[in-house]
Amino acid sequence: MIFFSRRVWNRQRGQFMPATFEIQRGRFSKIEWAAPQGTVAKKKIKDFGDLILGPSAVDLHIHSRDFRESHKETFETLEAQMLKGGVSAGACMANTQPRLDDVKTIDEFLKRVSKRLVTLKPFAAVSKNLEGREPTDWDALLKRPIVGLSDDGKPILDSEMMKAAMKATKKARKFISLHEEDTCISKASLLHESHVAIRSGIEGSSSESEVAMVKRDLDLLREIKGHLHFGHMSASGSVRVLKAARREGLSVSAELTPHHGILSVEDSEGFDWSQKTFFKVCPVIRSTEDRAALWQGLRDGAIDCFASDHAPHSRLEKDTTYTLAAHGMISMEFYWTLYNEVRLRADLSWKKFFDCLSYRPAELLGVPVGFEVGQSADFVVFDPEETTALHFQLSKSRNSPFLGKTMRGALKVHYKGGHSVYEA
Amino acid sequence: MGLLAGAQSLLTVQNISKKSAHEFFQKINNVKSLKPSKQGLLGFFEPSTRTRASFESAGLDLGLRWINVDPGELSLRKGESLRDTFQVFAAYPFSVCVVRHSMSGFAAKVAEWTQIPTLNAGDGMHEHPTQALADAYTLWKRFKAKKLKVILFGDVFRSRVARSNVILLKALGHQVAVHDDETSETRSFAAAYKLPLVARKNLSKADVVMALRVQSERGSAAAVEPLGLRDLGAKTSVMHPGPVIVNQDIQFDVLETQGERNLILDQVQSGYLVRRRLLAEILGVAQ
Repeated sequence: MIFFSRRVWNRQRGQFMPATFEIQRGRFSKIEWAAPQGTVAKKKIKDFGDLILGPSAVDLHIHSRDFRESHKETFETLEAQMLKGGVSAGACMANTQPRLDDVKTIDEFLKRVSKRLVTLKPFAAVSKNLEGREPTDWDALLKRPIVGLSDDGKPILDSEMMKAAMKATKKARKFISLHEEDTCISKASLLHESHVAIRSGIEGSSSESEVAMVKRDLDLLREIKGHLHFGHMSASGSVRVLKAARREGLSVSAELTPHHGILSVEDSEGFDWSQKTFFKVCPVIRSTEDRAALWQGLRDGAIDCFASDHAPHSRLEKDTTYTLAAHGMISMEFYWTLYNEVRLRADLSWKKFFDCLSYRPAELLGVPVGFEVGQSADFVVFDPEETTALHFQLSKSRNSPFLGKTMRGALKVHYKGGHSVYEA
Repeated sequence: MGLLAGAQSLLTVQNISKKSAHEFFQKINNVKSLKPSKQGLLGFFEPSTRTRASFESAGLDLGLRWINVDPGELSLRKGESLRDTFQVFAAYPFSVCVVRHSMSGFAAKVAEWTQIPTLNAGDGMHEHPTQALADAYTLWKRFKAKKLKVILFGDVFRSRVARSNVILLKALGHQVAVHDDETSETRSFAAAYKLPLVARKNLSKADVVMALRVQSERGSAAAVEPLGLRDLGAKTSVMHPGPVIVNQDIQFDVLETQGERNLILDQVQSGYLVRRRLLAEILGVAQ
């Protein structure tokens, strides 16, 4: 089969170009950056016209659940959402039940995710039960095919442990993914410190809880070197210090979630108490000024990865008071559409969009992506003009403030290894 | 038509119009007798003196039998979610729930879970609608439809009474301002509701100073000297939702010498009448 579109993403040129390509045994076997030449019969060509063809997304921040939380999500339901969302690979966090804090559980996880259509790699916990006290067996864990270490959901408050974990991951040529929250400052991360929090009668959570920790870890990185990955950035102050760190030449990467890229704390007032818990995430969703700074961070490269922080929760965790509700929301099923919405709002170039969506996270995860001969034919056919109503169906959970909302951009087909694995 | 248009929840003072509030107050004044015996659920998960007593007493007077949900009892149901606990109550023949809790939004969740008309007797720092109605009724009785300049004094930031009063008093056409105690909390509260800040020396220009209790249970300490006689103009009335911490919220001399400009006991009486009327509307009885 020969494929053609007038708008295929050419990474080298940094633009869409007409391209004709062939796929053999799941890989790109031939790519011509031009319209099909004379002799090819029209019916042999799968012609996508003006639809966008781009590399599949890679998501470095997934809460897979399964195991003892299979009522929230299973690997099967997660995989189905990734296929529909246009995500071909991802990294899963260690806060499963049981925690991914020993070799046995990591091996069990690796077994469960092998032989799937999507590539999933775990982070192992930095500390036992993510409690920040006792280190896990880093040397043994880092020998397994994992992305690195992360206590995501919990910060690593102990600087000595953080330093030791940085040294261990650096030696293994891996990295730590950070949940930056000084819990002494964040006051349980309920709602951003704002007029909205005052009017809602909810204690506000200050940006300083994140910024202080980002600063600490950049200081440690200066000393120890290696690479650090900053999860779910939410505050303008974090963007500022990350930008400075980059200019200084430190090896860092940082994420933006769809919700921090689309929502602001003002939006929480649009939800009554029965729905407001869907808005509750950690870190909290901050002000429009913070959101503007995050957009600027995407444009100038301070933030270089999209990552969902997809976090399914059942009614048990969300149908309670706002104070008691668990943090997190789902998003995987509409990954491309949500980030297309971010792209439009942030006035982001397509180049930055694809770098954040695919290339940079793929590099960090160690999976190749893109339209190149020999590469696995993983790509998405996308219509940026058509709208999508976000009716979440494939997750076992429904915790999203975007339920039923309409956004710009529609995923048409997702190809994985040259096969169509999802078609709208 | 009553304030609630029948058996409905009162969760906030948002959307209460001046007209419906005034009609509601008028109905309280037209007290008559009543009959049926029904059950109500009282769930006070935070200490309460007057709110609880006034609800309980008004309910009994209307023939309501109260069932108390003891917070201790609730904690015995270890591992049971709040939702499950309250859905159990939905199976009982309660006509009304009256709940107070330290968590904002608690009453709204109880109303959702039980599907029983629920009166919010205070939810965290969020709202205290029956107190605001009592305060508004107190002013209405004394001043009728006159537009008043009301200045809130004290720990507004942690006060649910302040939040409900700001919304309701503004809806009733009063001018609401906040005494500037120069703390960032008070100033951000004023900004959050777009209220003017008033210096201490200008408290005397108010028709009413509404003093609020220092919320020590929510981590507050007195920021300023208590409200004293020297702060008040010749015609300034004083309110306080109670309980008054004498010489911390308000100086003793104010309480002693203010005479009929001291509206604090009126507020207590109003609290009873307002709650009685709300229960009567829910029970569908003419008072």
